[in-house]
Formats: sequence, C-alpha cells, structure tokens
Amino acid sequence: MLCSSINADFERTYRREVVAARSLASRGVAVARFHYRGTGNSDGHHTELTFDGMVDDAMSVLGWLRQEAGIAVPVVLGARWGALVAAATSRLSGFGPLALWEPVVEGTRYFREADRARAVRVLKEGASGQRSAEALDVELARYEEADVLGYPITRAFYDSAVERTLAREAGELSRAVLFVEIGSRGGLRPENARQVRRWEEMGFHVRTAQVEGRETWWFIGDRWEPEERRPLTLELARVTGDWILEHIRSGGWGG
Amino acid sequence: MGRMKRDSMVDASAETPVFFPAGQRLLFGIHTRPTAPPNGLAAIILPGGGVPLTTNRNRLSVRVCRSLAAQGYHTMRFDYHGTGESSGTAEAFRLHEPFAEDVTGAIEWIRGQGVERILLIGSCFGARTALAAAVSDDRLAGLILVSVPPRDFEMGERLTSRFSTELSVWQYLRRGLRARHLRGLFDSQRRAAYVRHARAKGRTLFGRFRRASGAIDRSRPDPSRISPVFVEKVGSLVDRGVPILFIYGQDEDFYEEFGRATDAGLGTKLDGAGSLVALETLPGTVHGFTRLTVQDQVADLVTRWAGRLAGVESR
Repeated sequence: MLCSSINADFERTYRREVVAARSLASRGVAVARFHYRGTGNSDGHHTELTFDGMVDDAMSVLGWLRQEAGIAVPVVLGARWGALVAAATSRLSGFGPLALWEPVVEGTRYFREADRARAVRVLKEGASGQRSAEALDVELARYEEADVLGYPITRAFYDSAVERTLAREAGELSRAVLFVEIGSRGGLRPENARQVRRWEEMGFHVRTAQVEGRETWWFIGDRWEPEERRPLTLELARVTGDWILEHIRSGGWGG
Repeated sequence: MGRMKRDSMVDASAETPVFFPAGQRLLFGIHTRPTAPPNGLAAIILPGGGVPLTTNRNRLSVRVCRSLAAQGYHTMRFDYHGTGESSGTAEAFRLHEPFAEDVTGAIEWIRGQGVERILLIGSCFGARTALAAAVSDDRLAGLILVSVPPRDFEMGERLTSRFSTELSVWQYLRRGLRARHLRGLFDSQRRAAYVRHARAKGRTLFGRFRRASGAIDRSRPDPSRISPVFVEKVGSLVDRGVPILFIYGQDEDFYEEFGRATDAGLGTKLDGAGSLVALETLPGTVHGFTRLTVQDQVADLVTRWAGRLAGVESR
C-alpha cells in the first residue's frame, strides 16, 4: 500500500507513483494507491484533513487489502509526508514491513520548507498586502488557513502534524525497513543517517539506498520529462521491487 | 462564495472513474453525473502542462466539476496520455502540438452517455488543446479558455522565447555578465538554463534572417511571435458563433500577448462577436493557479458563465 504525500508533492510525484506501482505489479506485487479524504479525487473538504484522519484512511485501505485481496503481510510504503503516515499505519497494524521514499523525518522540517517556499515567493513578487509575508505559524495562529503557493494549510492540520516524527510514528518494535533517499550519492544526509542508526540500534532491519536525483519540493517546475524514462523513477521502482521480492523469496520479513 | 460551500455541493458518490479509448491509448477520467435536473450539457476540463492531472492544482478541477454537476452538467476530467493514471507516454507539451486526440476520445465517451452539447474548459496547454479539438466539433456548446497562450512554444520555453524577442544581444551579454549569473555557471541546472536562453536567441535571430530573406518555414512555429494558428482557430470559432470566455490575469505575459493578437487583427473579429465572446481579467497572475484566491475567483467565473450558457442553451 502506497501512502502518497500531500499538496505540491502529491502532484509532483503522482505519475512516479503510478509508474512505480505498475512496475511492481509487473513483478507480481499488487499495489493499492489512494487519495486521503479531502484531497485528490476523494470525498471531503481540505479542512477535514488531519494527520490522524490520514492514518485512519490508510488503515481502511489496509483493511480492504487484507479482506478483499487476501494479502496477509502488506508492505506499507510512504513517500515524503506519506512516510509519516506509513510509519504510523505500520505501527498500528501490527508492525509490518515499511518502505520509505525520501521521507519527511520531522513534521517541523516539512512546515519549515513550506515557510521557505512562501518566503521565496514574497522575494520574487513582493509582499504588498499579502498575509504570506508572515511566518506560517504566526499566520495560522491568527487565521484558520494559510496559502502556500496555492495549497491550503489549515490550523487543524498543522496542529495535528507539526510535532510528528518518523521515530515516534514507527514505534519501537523492530521490523524490516527500506529507507530510500533521493539526492546525490555519497552517504545519507545527517538527519536520515541519525534515524537509520537509531533504528539499527533498536534492532530494526534497515536497508538503505540512495537514488540519484534533484527535486525542488513545493515548486512545480516548467520542464517536462516523461516519468517512465526518468532514471530516478525507474531506480526507485527497481530498488523497492528488489527489496520486496528478496524478502518474499527468503520466506519472510524477519531480516 | 467560499470554498467550503462550493465543495460541499456534490461528493464523490456522483462520480465514476472510467478508462476510455483515445486513439491507440486508454485514458483515465472521472465522470461526474448531474445532481440537479440535467441541463443537456457536458463539460470537459483540460488542465495545463504544469499539473496535468484530473485534479489540477489543489483540486481545482474537482471543485469545478462538482459545482457544474450541481447545476445539471455532466462533467469529465481526465489525464492526458502519459500523465496521471492514463496509458502511453507524453513526450513533450508543445502548444503547436496539442493533445486533441485525447479530447476527442473524452468527447466520444461522454456523448456515449447521451449528452450531445459539450462545453470545453481548458487552462494554458489545456486551453490550446480545447481550441484544437473545438474547431473540428460541430456540436460544441462553448469554450472557456483560461490563460490561453497566444504564442507557440514548448513547456519550459515560455520565458526564454519571450526574452529572445524583448532583449537585444547586448542586453543578453550585460545580463550574462552579472555576478549571480556567472556564479550560476557552477550549477548544472542553471548552466542548462543559460544554454536554453542562448539557443532561443539564436533561433529568433535566425528566424528574422529567414523572414527577411523570404524563406519562411510554416511547419516550424516561431515561439517569439503570436501564433497564426491561434488567431485562425479563435477566428473560425467566432465565425461559427461559438460562445467563448477568455480569462486572464492582468499581470501575466499571456494577457499582454493576447492584446497583441487582438491588435494584429483578431480584435475586429472579437468585437464583431458581441456578447458571444467575453473577456474577464483578474488582478495578478492566473496562470498556474498559484494562489487560493485566484483559484476561487476562476472557479466562480467558470461556474457563473457555464450557468448562463446553460440558460441560453435551454431557450
């Protein structure tokens, strides 16, 4: 089950997730994707979006996969913000295997990036009379909602999400984890390396991979490249598929 | 009208995901059934190349489809080939090569539901695609073109092609020698951008030379000039009496270029069309829908104009 990210990430990685899911399916792995309530084509309004609601939605899909598709041990896969949702879902559903693509390790980091994106826009276009000249948390303390480049962040979502961390959401029971970082090769970034080390010390079976690529989150670029041909996308699908099939062939997810 | 009220009009229970054929490919779309008495019209939404998905940025297309369904419209939003959930590969988004075949597939599918009269609503690349599909459809009810680009260029060349006509070689050199641009030479992405600018300028100069020498290649569009294809297609729809709504942001380059297109002869046709053609402008930039207020304003304009169109059609 694939837990997507939200806002600009959701749109940016949509096709990548479709391509990766189809690649996994071609190797015999069934994949379920979904849109959280209040996002994408699902029901609901964006004001209903909270972190707990997202986890509830993921749990519903997991239940469907188990009941309808007869899958005993689903792999929960999360991309960017979806990694936090995937980690919580994995913990709440019996500590199944967890795969993470360029995970948001701390909620505060995600919102800091959002703040920076707003600042870049103000620098580019000027702040004249715009609320976005204020810091995100200041604006949310005053209003119910902030505009981050055309995506709404509500106070309810922010309050439910800002303190989340990958470590806390995943819990302490060891399990198999695939941790994929997107960037330049040559060692994980410090925050990711710390998280992986911590899990290894706790007995988690962590496989790390670095996939070369450059992403500018929040800003949708103006260059088009078919996702089916992007080395980044093909590598993500390959690494994830290899990891899943390796475990299936070895007869389990213990190590 | 606030976003919350509009969103709550129709929910996903009125929607059916479908795969429909378009040429050799299967495209993914979402059909929203009318939740008010059907008005005999269907609206098809075509996104731009920036967020080429059924949702568009921040679900704008979802909101528009559900609002129109509450007015009695059948609606369809879909992913172009090679995007979202659809099959195929999209090699490039070029305004002179719109995905008209995809729209034809969507129109055929929706007509299969028993609705003949179609309103096409497109933004940016989607608007040019709507325009391309519209000229060959004789049962078209109307057209809404949001930030429709009047020039022909490939996605990623909007600014390079514009600068190539506005800046002289001397101005290019002066800009290129600025400290921050020189620092950019150490960054592969910025280096690639400089090469694109240089190529665009080269193409513009070469095009001028060829025009001056009388050798014009009509098969290769000139991205620095108003597209004759754009002018011709809008003109032919006006001649046919198809109602059109143009929406632009007052600060966006496409609006300024639209002004140039009207100065170049399209204006007389549009003036002659009377109330069949409307132009609405909004403060700032509409293109890309990068502000929540702009999304609300565009959604309101579209739903109001579509409502009026349904009223006219029912008479």
